[in-house]
Amino acid sequence: MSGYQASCPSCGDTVVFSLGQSLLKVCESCGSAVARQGAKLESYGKVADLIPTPSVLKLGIEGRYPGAPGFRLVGRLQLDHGSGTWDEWLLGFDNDQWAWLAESQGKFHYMGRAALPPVREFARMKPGASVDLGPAGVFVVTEVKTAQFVTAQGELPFDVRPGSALHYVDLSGPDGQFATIDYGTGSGAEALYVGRAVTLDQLGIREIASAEERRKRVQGGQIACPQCGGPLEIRAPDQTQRVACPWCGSLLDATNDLAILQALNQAPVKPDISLGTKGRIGRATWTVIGFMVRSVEYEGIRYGWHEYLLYEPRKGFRWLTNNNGHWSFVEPAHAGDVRDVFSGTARYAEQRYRHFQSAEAQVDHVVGEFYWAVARGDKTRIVDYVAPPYFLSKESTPSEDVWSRGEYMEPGQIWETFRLQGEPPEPTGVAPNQVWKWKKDARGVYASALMFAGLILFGYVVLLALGGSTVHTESFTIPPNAAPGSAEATVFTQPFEIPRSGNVQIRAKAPVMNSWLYLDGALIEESSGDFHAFDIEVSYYTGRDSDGVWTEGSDRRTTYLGSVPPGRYVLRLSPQWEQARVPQGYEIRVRSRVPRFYQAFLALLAVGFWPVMVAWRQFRFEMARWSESDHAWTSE
Amino acid sequence: MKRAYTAFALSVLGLWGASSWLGWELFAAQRGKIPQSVRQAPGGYRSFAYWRGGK
Repeated sequence: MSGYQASCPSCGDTVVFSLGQSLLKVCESCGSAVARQGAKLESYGKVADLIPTPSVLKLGIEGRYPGAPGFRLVGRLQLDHGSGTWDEWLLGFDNDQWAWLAESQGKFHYMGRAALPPVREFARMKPGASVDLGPAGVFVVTEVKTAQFVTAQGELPFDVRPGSALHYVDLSGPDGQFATIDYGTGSGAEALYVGRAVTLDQLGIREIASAEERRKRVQGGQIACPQCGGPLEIRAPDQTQRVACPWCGSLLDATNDLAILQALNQAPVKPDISLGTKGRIGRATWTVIGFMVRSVEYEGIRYGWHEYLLYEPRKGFRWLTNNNGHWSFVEPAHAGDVRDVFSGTARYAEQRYRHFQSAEAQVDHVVGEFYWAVARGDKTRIVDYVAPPYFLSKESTPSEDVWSRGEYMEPGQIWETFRLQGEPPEPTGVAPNQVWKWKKDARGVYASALMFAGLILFGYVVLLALGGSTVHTESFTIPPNAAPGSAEATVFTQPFEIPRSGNVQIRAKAPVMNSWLYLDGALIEESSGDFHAFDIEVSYYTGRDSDGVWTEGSDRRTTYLGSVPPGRYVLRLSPQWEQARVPQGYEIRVRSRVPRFYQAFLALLAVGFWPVMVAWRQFRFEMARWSESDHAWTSE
Repeated sequence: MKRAYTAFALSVLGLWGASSWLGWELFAAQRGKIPQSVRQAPGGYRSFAYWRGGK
């Protein structure tokens, strides 16, 4: 690093700017902020003492990011946007370049300086807006805020007086990228930083500040509530900003020696899972440290749900939500990876979500610890999307968008995870991200139904190809003077063989025209005398009316006899006809083992009935789900 | 549920196969047996009188 050395204008001691590009240095002797203005140094006065933060870093720590020169922490900037102080560390590389390492809630973001494309001025930036950052891609604005430059340590690459208000816009980009547009104290963008979340291991940082060097916001362990004296157990002292007393409900400021922000003397709502309860979800053991009751108002009625804040020191914070007995485990979602938020859909992690509900949610009760400055009555705009068993949720304030993704958990699983007593309350209704319990089975049933339907159709085609052999055909004339149904008109066919048992199709064909022929018949097995009686009526009528030519009937008609055993048969046929219109004759054809379509159709109906009922139940389930949404299928 | 459905559908297939093979019909025709005495009588089952109820 190319350094610069001069005398402090306040105390005269030596100040060393280790980076050639550093413009501000806090004098180690007198604590004054010394600005480099060309060859001249100016003192901006003493900076405030460092605010206690739980940072594990300290100036002088060295590291190496893969593919980059080694670095050293040369500066520390403390900022506050009104709800908490966070640290930004200046990394000075061996090649005199620099980058920022932002630290918040135990997470680190490596942010390198990038070319700043033309972007809107600060006042026109809104959460949710898309910003094209050139080679880095299109980012979405997640936070538009103004932070106070509280204090600093070491050196900084800009020349700003401590105490100044700095405008910035945080953005989330594709593939886990983050960006910050620095507006400085004005309205025009001054710098762009692009980076991603990193771990200290990735940065090659082995050395961290000792426990004595780390100053916690509040002392961990057992302390007493300053309002009611009740015992408070602080489980995440590094991260906690607010503590809500579980005994009196008072809201305390963890960043200011548990000063009372809101004094109450009432017992808050008792959570189902007590604070301090531990449970293993995924690969981590989570501790319940906070509990909130939130609600939305719809047509004058408030609908509430419970949220539990979970904490694990290495992974940070997660949520458990309980809505009418339905539970979900909620994790942060990277806003830059949420795509296509339009037309009621959103895409995240290769999954398409459908818009479910938009509402304004309110915090009604809080108990325990929280990593942000929570307060009763806090309002956020919530937009929920669902793709069971997941939901994707965006919570918006005028200056910030926060995305999260929840996954449905069975109540019994929650009880088992946190070793809760008794049985979980039975959930009511259908949760937005609840999976219909038969969904997997239903898919199997639908697939099987298709397979069985295919089998039936294939079988019917095979039967058509193989079955239906003609065993007898014979024509008869009706004696001219015979009376209908008389002995003279009655005939018997020649004997014929039916080789195999099965059904028999008998078809009568007669040249009827605006008349009919009725056959009273019997299929008689000659040796046993067993017979099947049947009748066939052939009729055909035609004419003309105002609609044109009409016809009715046909010159042929068939009938079927079931389960006819093999044997030698004759047909007895006794014809009758319309007196004035004697048909000349008729033809009889007998076929054996003829495939019946209606039977295949009934089989199709039978195998289709079950999946139809399954689909109906699934439909009813989805109806119940969406009846609670902004897209209800029925209006009540 | 899938197993139950598979069993049910296989039963349906079996029933359909049996009905096709054995020639079952939904509505059975009237069946009867011509008595031995009629069959041995002159004209046998071909007698008109038998089919007209002896008239």
